[in-house]
Amino acid sequence: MAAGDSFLDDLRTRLGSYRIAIGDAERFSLLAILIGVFAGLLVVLFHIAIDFLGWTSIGAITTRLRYGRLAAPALGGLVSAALVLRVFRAAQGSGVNQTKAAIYVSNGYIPASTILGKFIACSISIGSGNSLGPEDPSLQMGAGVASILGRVFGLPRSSMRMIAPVGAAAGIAAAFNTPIAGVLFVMEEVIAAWNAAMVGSILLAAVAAVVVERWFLGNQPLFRVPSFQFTHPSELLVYALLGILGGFASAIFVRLIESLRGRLEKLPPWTRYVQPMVAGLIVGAVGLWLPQVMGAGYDAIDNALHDEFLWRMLLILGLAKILVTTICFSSGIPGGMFAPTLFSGAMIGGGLGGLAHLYWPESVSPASAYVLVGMGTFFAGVFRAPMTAIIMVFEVSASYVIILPVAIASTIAYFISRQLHPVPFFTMLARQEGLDLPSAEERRAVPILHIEDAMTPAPVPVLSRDASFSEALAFLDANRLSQCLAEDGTGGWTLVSRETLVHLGGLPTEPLPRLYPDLPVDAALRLLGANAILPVVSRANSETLVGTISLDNIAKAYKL
Amino acid sequence: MVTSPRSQRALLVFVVLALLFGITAWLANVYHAERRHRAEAYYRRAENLARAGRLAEGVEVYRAAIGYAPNAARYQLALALALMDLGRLQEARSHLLEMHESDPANAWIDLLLARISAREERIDEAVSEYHQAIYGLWPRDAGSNRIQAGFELVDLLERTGRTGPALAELLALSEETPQDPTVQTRVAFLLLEHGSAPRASELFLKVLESNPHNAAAALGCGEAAFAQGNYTSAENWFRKAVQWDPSNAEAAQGLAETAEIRSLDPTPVTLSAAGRYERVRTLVSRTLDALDACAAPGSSAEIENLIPDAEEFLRKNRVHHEGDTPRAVELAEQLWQARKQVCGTPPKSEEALDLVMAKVAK
Repeated sequence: MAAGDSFLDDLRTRLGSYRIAIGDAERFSLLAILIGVFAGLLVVLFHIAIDFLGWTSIGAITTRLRYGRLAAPALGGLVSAALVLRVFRAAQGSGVNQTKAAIYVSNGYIPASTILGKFIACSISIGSGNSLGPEDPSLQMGAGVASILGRVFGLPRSSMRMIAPVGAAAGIAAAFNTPIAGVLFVMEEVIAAWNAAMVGSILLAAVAAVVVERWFLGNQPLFRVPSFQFTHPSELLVYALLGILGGFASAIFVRLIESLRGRLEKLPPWTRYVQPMVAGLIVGAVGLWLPQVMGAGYDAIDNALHDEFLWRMLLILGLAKILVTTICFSSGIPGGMFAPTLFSGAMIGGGLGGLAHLYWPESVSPASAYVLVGMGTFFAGVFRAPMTAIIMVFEVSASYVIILPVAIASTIAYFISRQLHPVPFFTMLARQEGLDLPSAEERRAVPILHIEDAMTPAPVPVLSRDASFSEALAFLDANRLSQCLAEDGTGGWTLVSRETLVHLGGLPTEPLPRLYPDLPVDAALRLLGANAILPVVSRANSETLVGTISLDNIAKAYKL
Repeated sequence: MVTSPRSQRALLVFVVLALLFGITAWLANVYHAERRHRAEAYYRRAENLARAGRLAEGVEVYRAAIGYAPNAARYQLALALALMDLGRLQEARSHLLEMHESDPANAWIDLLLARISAREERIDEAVSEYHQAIYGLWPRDAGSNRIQAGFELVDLLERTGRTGPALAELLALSEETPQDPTVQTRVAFLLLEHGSAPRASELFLKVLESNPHNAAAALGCGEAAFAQGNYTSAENWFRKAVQWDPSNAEAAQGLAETAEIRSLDPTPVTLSAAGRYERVRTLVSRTLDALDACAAPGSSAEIENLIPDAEEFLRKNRVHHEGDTPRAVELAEQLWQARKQVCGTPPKSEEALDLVMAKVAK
């Protein structure tokens, strides 16, 4: 008995001495999953709210009133705009810039009222048939959820700025049911930089959100995608043409929004309640003839993917959607731009594909293939996120074959759009609101200097490691140097100067930090405060000196 | 007992999460139930419209049903069928291909795809899809559906002039036909149309074994025997077909034709010399009448000489004499060849004469 007791006591002591150490990185990852779950639940509720509102109020209006389709978006636009103008001011707009502003201006702070306001206002605006989408609001709501959880769990300020993108990715991934595209979009547009440290957490949150969303809403995609056909290599020319058309169309779309939005904002403040109503009336009027352009439009994309429409109708729908979306968004009705962009691209792509298939049926696939590629093309042109476009189309279609055509078309559209409208879409919106937010385009335009761009390349005078005190002094004199590098035989480098020689009576032994040519100049700057010159060595062999770098080198490289 | 503020906050978060989960689960259930209800309501409305012949409207309502239940194969199939009826084949194909992806062994989908390909004149594709339908999985009535698919394939191949493959399919079909006399008879008639009279005859006899008084099979036996030049057997079978089904006009016609052939045919070994001569004289007379009826006077010098020769022969040689029969046969052949050269293919009324002359020529 005594032996058993002592065994148990021993066991308790041993177990008690083991502690599970959870570091900050692990906590952040766990928090990311929690954010993903919350964001997923919120997006599910948002989706249900939009549909229910659409069925019970708008559907009812449409069936009871002959011209209900005319009235519904006007009413919805008025109510949702009034909500965001009077009650939930932070819930205005699409949500992407508002999220970026929260990250870069407010250090990641998003109040709970923003989530509530966005939820209610966008459910009403989209559910009533206005030509806007739910993805951008989901992004903002996800970021809001992350912000709240970050505050609840007492994250430090430096982490608060990082947590909002995690929620943003979760929100958009769940809304669009494409986790990888969601992650890419947040990296490309919201964070505007590739941050390897954040990718893991963002991906965890996005996947968690998508899992929750699929759990409750099922595995079916937003629209059914038939298997992609690639009929003949010569089709790539048609896809290239689609890229050109998409590039021009996306630039026109962005310019239209910029122009109309600018003009409407200059109107008297009281018109801000009338503008959404008029916009809704216009949407409703167009909707009497083309009901496909109302709301997000996923049903119509589904129908286009199943060859319901002829090429003329597809083009008409694409152009009509551009028109009504411009009007809705510019008038201040809250809601997103993703779905309308995908719709417009789908229809324009399908229209071109249908026309080409008419003339070359043997070598051009049916229009449905072009609907899919068109979505990605237009997305890349409008939002300047080509990687997101390619991956999104791939995730939606689950077809590797589609990657090449969408890559070609999206890249062409991206470059044309950039030429015609250099300012990216969200940056343009931000500037109209008086904000200057970073964008991936901006960062791509600013070259990053690397050490190899600034350093003094080898050969440089290097003192032999076996040199004596007098030889070292003589070496410095002969080369007219005040200091030089010496290699210590083990891949380490030291800085030899007259002062250190005299002070130490010989060569210094303290090795200098090593740098590599591919590192950004920033890495050198952090170390040059304590060291006058630093060695730049080869990654293959640290005894091979590639060059040296000093503050003078950096100043010259930056032309200071 | 959680006392630290951090622990309390964590607990609050998880309580909220649990509540949110519960609310979402309940709402999602209500949402899905509503979607199913709406989908079914639209589907029933679409079915009613389709039954009333308002297909175009029905298609729109089917689409609405699918919008609420995208994975419902029943709705998709109904939409595809309606689209096919409306002639919107590309769209129908699109839906069917999608269904095929999720249910690749479903033979009914393959059959519909084959029908679309056939209508679009994409024959090779249609043939492949018909094969998939024939050998695929049928949820119900596999046997009859396979046969139906087989018949459609044969019809398609016939229509497009691919008689060899059509016959091959028929032979394969004949191996697989069940004990349904209607089906077997149909297959046998198709074999007969494709020139496979012996095989067709086998099948007809097989039908008669299990259905002794099947008039259609008897008719088929008669036609198979007729095709093989066995007119005596053909006449017997036609007679039986008429006995078992007096209203069978084809059998009656066949009987009349074979009777005529047998009355004209001078080749049976059972005939006496006089009897044979009499029949050959009749042939000369009939061929002369046929040539007279269709050839215009002065149409050819050969005919100008032939007709008087034949008339003289008939006048002078009313009774059989040694050596008259070969001369008469030669005359009849000459007359008939001349008739065909000058007047072309003989009409239906001269079909018996044509068959006998062909037999005589052999």
